[in-house]
Amino acid sequence: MADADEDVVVFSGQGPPGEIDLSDETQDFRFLQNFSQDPDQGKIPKRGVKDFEPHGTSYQESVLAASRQAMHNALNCTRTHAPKSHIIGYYHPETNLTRVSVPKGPHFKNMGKADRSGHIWLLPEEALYLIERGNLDMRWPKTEHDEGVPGAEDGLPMSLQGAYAAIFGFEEELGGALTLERYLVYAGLKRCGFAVIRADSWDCPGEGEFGGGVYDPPTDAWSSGLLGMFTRLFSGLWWGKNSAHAHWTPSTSARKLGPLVKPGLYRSYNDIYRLLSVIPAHDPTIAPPRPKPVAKSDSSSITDGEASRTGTTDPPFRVAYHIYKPTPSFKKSAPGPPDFRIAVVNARETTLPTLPQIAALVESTPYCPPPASMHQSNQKLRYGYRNVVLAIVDNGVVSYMRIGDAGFAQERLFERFDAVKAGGGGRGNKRGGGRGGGRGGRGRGRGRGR
Amino acid sequence: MASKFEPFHISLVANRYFIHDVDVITYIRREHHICGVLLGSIPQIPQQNVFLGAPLELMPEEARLLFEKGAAVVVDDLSLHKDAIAFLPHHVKHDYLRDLRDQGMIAGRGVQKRTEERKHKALERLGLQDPPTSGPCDTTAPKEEPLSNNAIDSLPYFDAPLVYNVTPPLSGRILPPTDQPTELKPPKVPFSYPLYEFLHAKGYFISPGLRFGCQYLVYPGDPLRFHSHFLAVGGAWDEEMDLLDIVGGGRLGTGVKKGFLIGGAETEEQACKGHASTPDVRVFCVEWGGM
Repeated sequence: MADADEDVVVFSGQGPPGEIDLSDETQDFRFLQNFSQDPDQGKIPKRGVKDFEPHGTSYQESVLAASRQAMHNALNCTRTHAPKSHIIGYYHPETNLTRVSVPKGPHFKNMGKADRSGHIWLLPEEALYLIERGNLDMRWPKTEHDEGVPGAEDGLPMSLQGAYAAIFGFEEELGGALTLERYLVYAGLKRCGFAVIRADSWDCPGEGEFGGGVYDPPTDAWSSGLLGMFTRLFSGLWWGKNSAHAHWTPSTSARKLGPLVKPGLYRSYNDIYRLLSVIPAHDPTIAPPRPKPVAKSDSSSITDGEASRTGTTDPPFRVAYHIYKPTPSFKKSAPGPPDFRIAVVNARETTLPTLPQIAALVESTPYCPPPASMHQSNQKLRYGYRNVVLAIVDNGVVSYMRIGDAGFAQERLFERFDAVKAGGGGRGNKRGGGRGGGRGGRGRGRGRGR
Repeated sequence: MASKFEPFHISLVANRYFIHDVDVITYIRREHHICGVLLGSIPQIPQQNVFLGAPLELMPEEARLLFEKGAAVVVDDLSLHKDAIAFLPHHVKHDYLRDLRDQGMIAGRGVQKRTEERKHKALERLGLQDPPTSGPCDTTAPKEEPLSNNAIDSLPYFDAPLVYNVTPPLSGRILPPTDQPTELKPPKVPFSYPLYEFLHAKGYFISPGLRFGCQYLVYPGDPLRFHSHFLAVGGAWDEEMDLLDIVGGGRLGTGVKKGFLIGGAETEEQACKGHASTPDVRVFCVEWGGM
């Protein structure tokens, strides 16, 4: 890994997964100069080579000084607004929203909301992002002291420092749900080019999107949802009735007392394996029970424990943003189903999620089975039947993880054995009796070879 | 080490610690070995995540260290701004706006100058105009020049000056001066602070490390130029640790050719037994043996 670190890797925005992410580590700002002089080029610099440790040479010192100077210069850029593209935003502390009367430029395609009089209202994260980019000139609300001061007709210009103070400060005072962590995720994804809009579970449990996906016809009737599975497991219901597949299900008392696989004539491996599968498994293809709809005003009265019992999501483990890949046809008024759903977690304040928390989070996303073109079972397991992205923010450093609701019970490996046997001649047929696991093991080995 | 920057402001907003001043950001990196995490978009190249700019978010540990050194004061940025906006005297407002206008004028004229130059060059190429008699054009952006009337006068004059609007990085002038006392308490830190302080005192640069599977990433020098050496996790003295965590951490560290470092401070009683005045910090480095 460290060897690979020292290699020079050319960055490309659309690299395959697993490629080294340049933003993982602090990069040498000297490389920024290469392309900041020529903004039209839009090329990301090559990854710099770092040293192992300081050895006190003046060469190393001077290189470090140059890097720091480059960083200083890059950071020391003033945000200016050309008269042609000058956008004034009027900040409203009472709502933490920003009003733009004359919107210009491409950013308003996927930002802001128009009111009846044609003004655009920007959410705090949208406004702050535009200020940081140097696209918005935000103004403090006018006070009576501003009368007669030339240049303050629209209110005093807000600095970036002022914008951070106002937006996060007033959001806290108003009890809003925008945290620095959520903003960082928002801005990071916007910089990548995604369209990002708030999910309806932004500051409340939300309705979820239970109706959002079409479920396959149920195959196993005994499990419903991740939580349901566990309650069933411990309430003594030990095996599942495989209603669609079972040819023969022994009576309860017989299974309690006798061997799992009784001596007898078995015509296929399937029959035996089905008898052996006594531990219930989660079936993601079954719609989870809908949680009781919770009104927005009630959301504060629900305690954490209660929330997990009713199957609704706990505050940090809630979908915060819907993310859309950049497409020219994107419309903010009708965005359609998002490409990704993301929940934002502050690593310093939140511990690892519990199973109910993750289950509730995953179940609040719509059913999205692996596409039919996906055949390999490890691919399907990774894709899952529902998925959500967790953004974990450790003091400004964001890590993204994708959580998929894997259908292990859906990938029945044993079903292949009979297929192999049928193709490979009658040998297995004659011996496929109740001789135990050894045969199964061999069958499995051949099955994988396919 | 006193400096013209100290004591500087650490802005506290919604329980997060920020530094907005680029000079201070570079200064604490150089003198205090504190890097923080840069958060903001760089307006020159806003569509990328590799290089980020001001503001800088400090870990509570970093804010606490600077606070205890007396290098910084923590201020409640929102209340400062609220007061400033509500009760700003006329002349301060005038000055603030004049500053911005001056900056905007410089930026605008710089753009006009570059446009003119481009026009001249294009005309030259077409052979419509003689080459200018003056020397090579200075193409560096004029915005770093000191703010004075000279700076404005040094730029060519245009009949219809283009005045840019400016969003300053700092509220600067409209906020009260930095030497005023504040009553904010020292930043609250996690129990791993002694480990942080210990490593920092040894000259290491420390940054948040969850992305690499640990609590702190420990660098032997400025992360701009050096790879990290350790993945550190802080613990309490009597804390029971899962052996699996140690094995896993050791495995992770060895896999990326770094040491997995566990450390914590002695309890008060332990320190008393050892006749030490302050609790000692012990650290251990775990590596796979490869026997």
